[in-house]
Amino acid sequence: MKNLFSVITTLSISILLTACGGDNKHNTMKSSASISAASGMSTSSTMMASSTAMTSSAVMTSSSAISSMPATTVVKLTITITNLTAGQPLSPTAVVLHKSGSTLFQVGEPASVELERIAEGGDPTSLLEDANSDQATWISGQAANGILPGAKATVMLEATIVTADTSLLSLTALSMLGNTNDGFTGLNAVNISQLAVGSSMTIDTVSYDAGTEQNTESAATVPGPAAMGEGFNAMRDDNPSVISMHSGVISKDDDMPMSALSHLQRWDNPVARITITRSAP
Amino acid sequence: MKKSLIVSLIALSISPTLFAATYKVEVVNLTRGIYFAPLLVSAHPSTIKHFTAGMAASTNLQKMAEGGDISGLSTDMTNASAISVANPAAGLLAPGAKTIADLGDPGTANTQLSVIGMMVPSNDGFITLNNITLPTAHGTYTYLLNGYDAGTEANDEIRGGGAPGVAGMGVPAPLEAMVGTGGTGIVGATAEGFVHIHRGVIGDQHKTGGVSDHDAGLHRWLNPVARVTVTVE
Repeated sequence: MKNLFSVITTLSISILLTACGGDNKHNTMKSSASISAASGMSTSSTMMASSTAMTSSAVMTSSSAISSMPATTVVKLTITITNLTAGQPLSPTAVVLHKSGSTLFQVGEPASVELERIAEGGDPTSLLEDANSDQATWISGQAANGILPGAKATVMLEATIVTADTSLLSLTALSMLGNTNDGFTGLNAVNISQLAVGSSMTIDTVSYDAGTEQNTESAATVPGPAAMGEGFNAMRDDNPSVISMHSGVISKDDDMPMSALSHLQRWDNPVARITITRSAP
Repeated sequence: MKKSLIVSLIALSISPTLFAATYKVEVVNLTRGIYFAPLLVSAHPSTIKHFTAGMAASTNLQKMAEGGDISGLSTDMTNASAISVANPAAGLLAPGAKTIADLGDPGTANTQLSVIGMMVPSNDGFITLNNITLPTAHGTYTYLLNGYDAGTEANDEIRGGGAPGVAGMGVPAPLEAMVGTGGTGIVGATAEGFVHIHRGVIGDQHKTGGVSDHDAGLHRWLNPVARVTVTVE
């Protein structure tokens, strides 16, 4: 796990390469009101009062019935993740394009082992393998490197899907907050079916606690550069042992002398800004 | 011109019944270690609300925020012809848990929605969705809620009573083991005098003694603290 975060030191170069494709000035709703129907919280989440009951504008054309093969649509997405924290490097973001109705995590439920590997060690490999073997997944990808505070990374996804399924387009993204025991952030099955070609949507994400490792903040257990401790460990010793909103880190500067963390690693929500842009195939 | 205006006004006043809707309100506790005391979920007229941020709390709000007692706020709502569901979770709503309040068809006068309940343990913290306009189109609407402070009690973070005006935190029996004892209390805390966004708690690492009876690893939170999903059918 250590090497995942040592990669971060080389990251600043790749950031320069990706930055040109990036900042859309936070264009939250370029094309239609329904696009604001999103947050990092859950399938049906909307940031503030926007209906998810709207019918999809993408429909199968009647002519497609003539062919024996169902009509298909190429969905091309660029996902840009900006780290908004002062001192929490984000692990290489895992991004999954999948059908709505499927979720990779839920607040109040225990984390999967695959999510635990991201939340404790920043390693997206097994989660992506697992997602790729799921029929609900169209395509997945990951950021090439970790994302330093203030930096951004870009993931491109392209999938050819049955046009009738475009109303089910959902996106999940997951990254560890590196200088924590088992903190993570991301998008939870955000419905992007209303995202028109040429449009983008921006979502500020919050931090979660996977509930898989006690928040000791110790040098032995935090894998990020502030501690360089152990990453994933199969033992589950947290209480509560379910996913919740993260309560932040305490740090040695605030009555936790055994903490390897200082005020530099503290944060408040939001922790990342994710922009999803759909472009013409 | 005038006539047609009046005609259209009449049409407007009738139209809401054409779109009669029923409302279900789901509340999820997103926090790591804070419980929610009995919740009050109300569809109500725009003439009443539980509080205004920046203003002093009412006595009934104080009862809710310091001791989890929603009876006063519930009576306020009933007197305003609101439709309320009190205590949908039948007790404490645990971290990660959810509950649903079925408001049915609240009628055309009850255009607003409020959700409120104490954060436990805390001195006078509460979660709320305060006086939003109920959506009318069928669908699912989600709101993220912040933690509020009633401003009626000093956040000393040590055990005490839940009755209004009694210092310290009332600790309900199921949470007995999760709250420390013998804290010396946060120095300099005072009742702020107005309702505001809660600044969070300090807590400490000491089960016994220390400055606070909050567990810093369990009872701190970052916003949002709750998610409300309204389903209109």
